Amino acid sequence: MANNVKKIIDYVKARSFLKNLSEARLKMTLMNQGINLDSIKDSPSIDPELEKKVIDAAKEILKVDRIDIS
Amino acid sequence: MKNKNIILLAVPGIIIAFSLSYLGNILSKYHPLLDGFFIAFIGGIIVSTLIRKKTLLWTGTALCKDILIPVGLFLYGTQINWLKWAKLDAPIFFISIINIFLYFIVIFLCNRYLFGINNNKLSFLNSGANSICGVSATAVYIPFVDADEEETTATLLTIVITGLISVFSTWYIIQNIAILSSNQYAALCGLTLNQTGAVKAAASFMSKETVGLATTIKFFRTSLIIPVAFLIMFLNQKNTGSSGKMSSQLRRSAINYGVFIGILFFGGSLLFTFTPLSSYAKPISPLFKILFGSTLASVGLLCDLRKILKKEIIFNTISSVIGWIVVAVITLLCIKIYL
Repeated sequence: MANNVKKIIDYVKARSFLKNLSEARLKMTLMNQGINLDSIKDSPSIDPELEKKVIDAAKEILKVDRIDIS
Repeated sequence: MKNKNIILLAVPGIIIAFSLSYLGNILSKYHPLLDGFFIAFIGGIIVSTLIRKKTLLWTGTALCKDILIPVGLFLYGTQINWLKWAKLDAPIFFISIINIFLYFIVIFLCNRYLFGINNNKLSFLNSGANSICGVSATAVYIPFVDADEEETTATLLTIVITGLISVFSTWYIIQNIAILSSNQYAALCGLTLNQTGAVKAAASFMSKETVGLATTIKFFRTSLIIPVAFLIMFLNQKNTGSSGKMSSQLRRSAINYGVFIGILFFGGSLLFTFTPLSSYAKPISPLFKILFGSTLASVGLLCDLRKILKKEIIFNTISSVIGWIVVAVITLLCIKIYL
């Protein structure tokens, strides 16, 4: 599956006033689940389950029900 | 993640950043070559390279960057006095603008055609930082090209090495050959060196008066930090393949950010030049140094030297030095003719 992690990170940063903090919170949230965001964001493809975890973490940071990365 | 948890997580990074800034500020009083910002930044790199558990630093450094870059730029603006620029010779302004374009052209061409480096972000960050204000400019320009940590670290390392080479070359080589007057030498330092600390250090070899004039000229270059940020973003979008381009939402966000920090920077400089607030510029200076130093320390804390020791980085640094040499030669000729 095509890797949309970079798009998710961009989405979070674009919708945050404190962009770097939001990205750091995303990294920390995923690190607590054993996922290293830096190592997966540049991969050519990604496991759908892994991407779903990133999306869920992004929703938690932005306090929204859905995000649109199309 | 609750706000209280965020603050607790941010504490280590914030404490380290402020401590490094404070250390730089103290050491800078001993010698002009010891630039407080430079020390804070280098200290950040050293700490980051040595610390294994980098998660300790993420939240604090992110918060420092988000809050201290805008605040720091406002305070930087308060240190700029537009009335001092009125006393500068007109050619200085034109040479400043020409040098910006020269840096971009030379570094881009060297990286692309001499060394085969296709990473445009690296070239534009390098050019922007060298032409404006080194480490400070790099910190500001990160969101305008969406630079990653490696590209940021590489640019910062390039700036440091270029700065060191250019400071000593300016005094020991160029001045020995060209035998410039105090004002001409001040112009050379202010127009070509990539960091305010480097300008002060090189100018101090001549005299204290030279430092004052050179710094005023350098501050004019620094005032162009926001327009050059937009230039970098424009060039990166035009010259980068689709994989490296910023998304439209990120681009919009960067433009909004640029306008915001531009208003802060120019607002600060205008308020502290043309209103009674100008008498507070000097008392604010220590606060500016600590806060901006903390910003640069937090940028340094993101860097890991072990990740960037590659051939590409060495070539990027060589391009930067070549860029400085070209700019210095052209500036020297202009100074000899017009000043």
